Amino acid sequence: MMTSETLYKLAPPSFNFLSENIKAHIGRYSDPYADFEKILSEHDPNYKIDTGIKIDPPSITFYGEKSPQESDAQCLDFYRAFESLAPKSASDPHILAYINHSYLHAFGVYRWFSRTDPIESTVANHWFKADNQNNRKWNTAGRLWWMGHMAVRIAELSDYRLGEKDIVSLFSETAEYYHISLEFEVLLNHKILAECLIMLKDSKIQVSQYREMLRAINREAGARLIDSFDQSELNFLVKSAYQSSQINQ
Amino acid sequence: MPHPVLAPNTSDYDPDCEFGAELNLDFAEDKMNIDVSYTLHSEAIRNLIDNGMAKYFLIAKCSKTYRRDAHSTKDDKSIWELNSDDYLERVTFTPYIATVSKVLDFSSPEHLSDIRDFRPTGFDIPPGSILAVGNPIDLRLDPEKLEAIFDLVYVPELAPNKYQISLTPTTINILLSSKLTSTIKYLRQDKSGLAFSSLYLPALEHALRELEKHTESSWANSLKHILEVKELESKLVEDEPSSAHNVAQVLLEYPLEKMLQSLERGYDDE
Repeated sequence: MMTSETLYKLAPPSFNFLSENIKAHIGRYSDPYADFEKILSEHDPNYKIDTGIKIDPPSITFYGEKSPQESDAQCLDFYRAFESLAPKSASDPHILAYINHSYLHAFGVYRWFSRTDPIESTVANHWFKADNQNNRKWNTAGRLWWMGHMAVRIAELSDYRLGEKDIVSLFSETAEYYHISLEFEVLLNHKILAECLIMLKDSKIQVSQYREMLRAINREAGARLIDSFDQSELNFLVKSAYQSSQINQ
Repeated sequence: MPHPVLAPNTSDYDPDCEFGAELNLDFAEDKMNIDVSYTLHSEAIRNLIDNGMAKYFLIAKCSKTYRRDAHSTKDDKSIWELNSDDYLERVTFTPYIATVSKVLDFSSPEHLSDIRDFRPTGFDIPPGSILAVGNPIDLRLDPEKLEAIFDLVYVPELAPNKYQISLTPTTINILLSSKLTSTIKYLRQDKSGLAFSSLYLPALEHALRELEKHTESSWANSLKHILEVKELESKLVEDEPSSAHNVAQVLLEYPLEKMLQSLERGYDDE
């Protein structure tokens, strides 16, 4: 049986202590066994703050060398463990930095540095930065949480015509599908994105054609309020965009 | 647009025609209640709403939490309940009127004569088409957060190394050339204080000097609230130009000092 535990966030001075001194700690970012809780508590006993959020401790093992695809594919397990984080908390850099250093450090080392040594900017991207696109694409916890969250939400909005695991497969096997899906403002409406992913799965289109299809939908969004479409109009729009993307290939 | 649109930046309709929305935000536990009142001065569009061929839509967008939601109604007043936890810092609400079924031969004496001459038989408009757009409304969910009152705006016409400050009804806009935009976006993340001392400090200083002239602006209301919370109101003296400079430094937590410390660290590392 799972037991809930308290989720903490880094206190701002401790967040700054780490994020402004990456170079001084650079060796630790290549060591999967580095104990950041110890480093932080020695620097300041009040290094963490109770968020009031309860989480189920991650029951899966994040350790060990895995391919980027296998790493991303764990997003649903991660999301389930941290599901009590609402989108608001999953955008908080102090919460994400705590998770990255306390729960996901070893995972992050293998995920990002299995082939290269860490440099300051990449550590900043994967352990600290949580601005909009960076959070969802490159922050270690942010990427896992948002990929899992999108899979759960899109599956629900598609009335489960697309399963959560189908979406995770699409996103993890070809990361560009995930990245491109984040680029268009109209796809912030996940009901529209759901239809695009159903088309992607059914017609097995390539990355460049998927991008073309989303561009066509984005163009249409300039003249029409796609959010107002009913299901049949949405199907028709995505089908037309798919056909137009075939022509433009 | 292939048909006339009633919007602040178009001139397809008679100047007396108008569309917009007013919002009131009320928090209740983990919910946000948005009380929306639409203003519509256009008989032609109102007839479409009354006949069930068009509706009001309110789109809520929050780029922080990667969220876009839509609410529709045929009524001039409506309440929309949203989960507070789905949004962070700032939500932009944009009011629209869109068709919900196909409209044939749409024409009106409210359309400007050029448009009526161009298509005397009227317009056939498919469902989902935008008939009217109102000014977007920014709501700050965390008014004590200073970052929320600034907006970095990319202006391709600006000379490569130039930036300008513009006080809009909603935000303090820092207008940047394309060359500066990417650099500043990067610097904003690194906490070295460089972006804060070079861009935000003069922008905030300017805004503080102009504060009393912009009492209707949402950025000014937020800024006043921040000054009150931080007990800095009395430090801002209208006839004392240096007071705005001093208060801006306190609000931005002494960015010049941060930048110098960061540079010193850089030298030490070399």
